[in-house]
Amino acid sequence: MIDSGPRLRAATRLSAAALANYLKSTGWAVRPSLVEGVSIFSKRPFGTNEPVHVLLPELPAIEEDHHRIADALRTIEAVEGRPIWTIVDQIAGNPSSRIVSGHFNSREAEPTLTDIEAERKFEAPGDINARSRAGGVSIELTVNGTSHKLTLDPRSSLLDVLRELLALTGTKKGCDHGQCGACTVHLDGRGLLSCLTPAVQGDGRQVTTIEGLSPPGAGLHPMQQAFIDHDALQCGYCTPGQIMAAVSCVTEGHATSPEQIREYMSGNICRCGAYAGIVAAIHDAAPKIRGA
Amino acid sequence: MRPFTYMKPATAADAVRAITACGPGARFLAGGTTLYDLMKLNVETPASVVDVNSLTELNDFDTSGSSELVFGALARMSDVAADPWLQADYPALSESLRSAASPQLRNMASLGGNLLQRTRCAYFRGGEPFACNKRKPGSGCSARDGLNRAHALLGGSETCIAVYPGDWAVALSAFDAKVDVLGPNGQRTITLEDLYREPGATPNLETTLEFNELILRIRVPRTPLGRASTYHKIRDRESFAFALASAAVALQMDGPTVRDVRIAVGGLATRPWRARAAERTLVGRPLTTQAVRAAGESTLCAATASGDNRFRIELGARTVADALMIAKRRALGQ
Repeated sequence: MIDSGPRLRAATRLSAAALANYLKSTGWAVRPSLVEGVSIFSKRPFGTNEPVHVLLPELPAIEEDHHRIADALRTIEAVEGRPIWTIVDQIAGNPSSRIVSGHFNSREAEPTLTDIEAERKFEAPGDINARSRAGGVSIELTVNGTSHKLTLDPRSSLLDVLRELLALTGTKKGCDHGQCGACTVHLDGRGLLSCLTPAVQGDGRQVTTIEGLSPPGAGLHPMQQAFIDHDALQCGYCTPGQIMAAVSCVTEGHATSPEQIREYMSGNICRCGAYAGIVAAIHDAAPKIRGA
Repeated sequence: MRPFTYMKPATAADAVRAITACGPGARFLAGGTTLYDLMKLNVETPASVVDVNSLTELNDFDTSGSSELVFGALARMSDVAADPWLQADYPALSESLRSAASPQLRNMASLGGNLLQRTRCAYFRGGEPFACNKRKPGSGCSARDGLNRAHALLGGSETCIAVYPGDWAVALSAFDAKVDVLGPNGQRTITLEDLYREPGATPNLETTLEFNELILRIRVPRTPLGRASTYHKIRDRESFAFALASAAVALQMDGPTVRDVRIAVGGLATRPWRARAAERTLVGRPLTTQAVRAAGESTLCAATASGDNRFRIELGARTVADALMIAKRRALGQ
């Protein structure tokens, strides 16, 4: 593990850009790429003649790219014959979590301070425009009242852009296939599933996430308070989606009876089974929201 | 997900031109709830995606016309389900939309896209190592000897028994709906029933549309049968589930006897399934318990079970019978 001062010890996220910088500084050759949006690096493992190629996505922000980056890291470590990345923080069970945070670990070429700073700048949520790359689709997306100009891989889901690019991790990924409701957000005021919404479809539109449900400094939204008051959660993972769907249930006019609430909340699954509390919370908060 | 080229044309004509230029590997994208989902599973792998959500001319619907109801292909399921005129005049259409999916999905999904929703067969969605003639022609059918509790009893073939999963198209088929389609050679109109194919030897071909034909709107003739209609959907849980059996029924009574009736079933067949023979057993006769029971059995008389799905023959017949009795109560103003 490197130990060359507090700035380098700070954990960073292993992104495709960080890995590309690392490869350039450690003797990997950059190959011309015929595939749009992909960089190719190659190196001959010691004692062999066949070069090994590593493909890195140029546009970040979609979940499967994290798996590709993790795969690329495994390939590089096999070629180098040693671990090049030290994990500092890992989420158990998540195969791509080794890229969540850690730092490069190098004998012959430690990453320079410039690399680290460039990486930080690249990663900083406030400087997302630095992620713009050729081959993407440029959009303007307003999230919780803040406008973002983004250039996106058109494969990116709104969910991944919110979580991975804009660092709004309140919106949760459950099934990623429209079956659980954990990713519910409001797009132009309507509740929908961010996992099944290509982010490019957010162009020119307004997204509200759980982070923006209540204006800054205004305290909790009445629905958030009602969920606390009625013990409407246990583990809490589905709760942001439940609350966003619950607000839609009220504002779209479907919270007039417990039966109707159950029907219109059927798209949000709670594995802990907090349904009784959820129905009670919505029933309680509905008149406060309608009266607001 | 495979990389693709993304286009967002502003008019229907531009959309058709764009997809024609891309070739058969391209897809139209509307609500995305089927296509984008299947792209995540690498079941759909379009090289180009033509997003039609800017075609605002297709957003509207009109349920007040004296000769027909017109639904733009991009009207959202939730908006149409909430229309009070539709709820009053064609409860079966409104109920079919309201009982489908979840509120979030209904806010996203378009009426035209919903017609083209693809099957939920787990072997189709699951990908390798499972064989699926629909996903990979000639590879075989894992469902025939596999887990087929939810598979089709009607309209299946040796190569495929995947159920058509939608509700809206089933209700539309009971009302003789038509579909306006725009292609590179201009516009054409087909009946909703002619939109769908049975799997036969080519289960990969589900509709009679070409890859570059875009659904513009759906038209439903105005009929006195609308008011006494229902969409009755039976499923494993009360909400947010696909039909194990469903029936769209519309009825016009003449005193105690049936003047006209429409029956279509969903969740049981490889396509929206109109039961004309069952309809004929009822016309001109009193709508008794025995008569609706016989009509249900007539609807399912050609059913072929594959194993786990056998119970749904009886379930389907009873669903039709129950739907007829619900429509009868509506016809009699009860």
